[in-house]
Amino acid sequence: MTDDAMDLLNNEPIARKKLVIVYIIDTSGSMSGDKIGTVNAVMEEVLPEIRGIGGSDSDISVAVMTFDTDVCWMYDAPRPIEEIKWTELKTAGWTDFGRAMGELNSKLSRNGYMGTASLSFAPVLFLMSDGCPNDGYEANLAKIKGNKWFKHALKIAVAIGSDANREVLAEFTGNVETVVEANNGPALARLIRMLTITSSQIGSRSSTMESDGPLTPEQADAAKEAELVQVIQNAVRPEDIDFDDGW
Amino acid sequence: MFKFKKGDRIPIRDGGDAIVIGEKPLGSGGQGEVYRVEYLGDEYALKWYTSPSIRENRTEFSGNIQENIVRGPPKDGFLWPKHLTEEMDGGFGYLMDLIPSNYSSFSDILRTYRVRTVSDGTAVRDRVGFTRLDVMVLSALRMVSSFRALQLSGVSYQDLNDGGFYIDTDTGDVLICDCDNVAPQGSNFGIRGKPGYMAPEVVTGHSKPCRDTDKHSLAVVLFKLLMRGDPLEGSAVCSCVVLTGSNELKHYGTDPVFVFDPTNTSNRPVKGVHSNVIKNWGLYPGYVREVFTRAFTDGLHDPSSRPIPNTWFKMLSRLRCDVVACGCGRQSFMSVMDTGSGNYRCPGCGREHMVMVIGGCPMVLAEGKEIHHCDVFPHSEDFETVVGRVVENKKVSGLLGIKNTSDRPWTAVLSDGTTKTVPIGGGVPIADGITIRFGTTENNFNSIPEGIIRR
Repeated sequence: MTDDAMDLLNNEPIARKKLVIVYIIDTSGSMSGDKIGTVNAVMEEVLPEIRGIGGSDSDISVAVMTFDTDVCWMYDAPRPIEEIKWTELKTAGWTDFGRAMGELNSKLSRNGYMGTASLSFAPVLFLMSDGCPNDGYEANLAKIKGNKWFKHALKIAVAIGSDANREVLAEFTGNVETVVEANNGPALARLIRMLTITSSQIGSRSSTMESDGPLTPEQADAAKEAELVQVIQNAVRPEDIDFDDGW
Repeated sequence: MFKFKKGDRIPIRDGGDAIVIGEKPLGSGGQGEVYRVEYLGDEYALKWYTSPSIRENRTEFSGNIQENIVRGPPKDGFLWPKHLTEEMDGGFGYLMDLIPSNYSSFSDILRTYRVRTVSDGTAVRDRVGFTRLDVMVLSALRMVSSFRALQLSGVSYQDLNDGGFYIDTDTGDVLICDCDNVAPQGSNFGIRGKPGYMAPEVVTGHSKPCRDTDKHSLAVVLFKLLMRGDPLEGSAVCSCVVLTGSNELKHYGTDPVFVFDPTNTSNRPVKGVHSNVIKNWGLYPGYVREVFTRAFTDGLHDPSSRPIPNTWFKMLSRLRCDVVACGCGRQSFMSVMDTGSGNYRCPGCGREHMVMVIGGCPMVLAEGKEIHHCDVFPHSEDFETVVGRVVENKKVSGLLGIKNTSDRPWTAVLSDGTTKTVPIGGGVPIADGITIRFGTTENNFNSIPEGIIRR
């Protein structure tokens, strides 16, 4: 045996589950001004805050996709949370949501962003949009729904302002309760922060008893989303004012 | 955003206000947020509950914390709730002491580093870890001793996990935090636990956290501390690729398999992923592997087969006796140094060490080795008091001896049968054939334990 192989104090970090958080951000023309300004400011602030959150459970990395007439990734591959530096997002063009779904589908694969030898938590897919798709998105959305990573993913959507098409966002998350509306800057900042922090912890923090009696596999699979829904319901505040009012 | 900002005042039930003094919370977790506050001139940590289910049951939950405050911690080493706040906006919290900066979170120890943000906003990794094997085992002993005291006081902890421990890796001091779920036998105020640490019957929903489920969680914590891996995460778990809720239910609830199960090899550690456990498991003595094997085979399904804190205490006391820190710098256990012919040779430098056999158990006498009260006296629970230490004679270079640091004189019996008294502060040279009796005739000679020094 080599020296290292006999050294009880010289250990690698404990095996952690990979957790990829994918932000899918609408950067079409309508997002310009305050909306993208808030997104840039809060993302720059919140990502360093989740650096320590994974603890000994999850190894968090972040991918950022922007979509308008084009689809771009901020980095070629998901970046470890400790290394990520936010690059200011700019806006232009249409809301080609269908293309975004096509691109996301290709990356939610072993050959894409999910290749790892160790165990993974299901990815977090965090969509933010203020509008309606300008392309025929249905085919690509139907296709991605067959992707097993997508199926298991914890999906959240923030509808920015009243023009956002909540139905499409709910089609993406598969649950109207995980679509949350942000009608002004402070609400958007608060929701992005809270949902980022919450989604990075779900599955690796202490939970409370939600029901008595034996758990079925279906209930177990739905538990993380149920926890997310509870957090979302707790976060929505009545004082939220319309994003599109008075700007 | 967060509930409180700097300068906010939170009324305390015992009178006065706690004032938030940090710009941001110290942390946020599943149940709430933690802030640095000042109360009556002292600094504390305020835990403020944000969890909807706790807020709904706040009367029962805060009532239990109040009972814990009155009950007090079972011994030192707990970061125990000290003052409850008044209710505010349907929420509440409690004050506890702050964690001193010389302590590292157990999560960081398992991760081997702490993330620190430097002034330009970038993150750096500071290494966190033990530098002495005996100190690592001592920290495990202190954890177990604290849990034993907790259980003997009639309560259970209910949410044992890596986030609840802080350890000074230089001294082995342990602080047990998050004591707000501690509850008397038969009570549970809503906590379920953390994935990976919950007993299988809690994962499946057949049981609520209790003393028996604490035993499983304690075994997981100790396995992670010593082996640096998860006892139930092996090839079967990795093959599911994504750890979904139903996969977790299966591998940690309905069909858990220990990674070193002697008969079921379906979930062995994976090379390149679980390198630590593959390396460390074989380096620990057999009696350590036996206790873990029982905890994670029979103990998974039968709570009465789970090792109790006292079993861990005995195992860890023995393990600490077995630690050898050779002068060459290598630290290991005696089992690794055993040549098979009753001699102990350092695999690093080749030096052969003398041993002292107490009650049938040999202990390597390398310089610096400490002999504790519980190592000598069979029924002692005192693992802190050092009764003897291997030191070099100040006048004769290279001559090692055992210094009497206990509170009573010893008797040394030389190989020719003559006896000498070893006063407190005196020492016995380490030489083949010398027997040390850890007392004198004045302390009822027959019941005095002895150690026999041999090559």
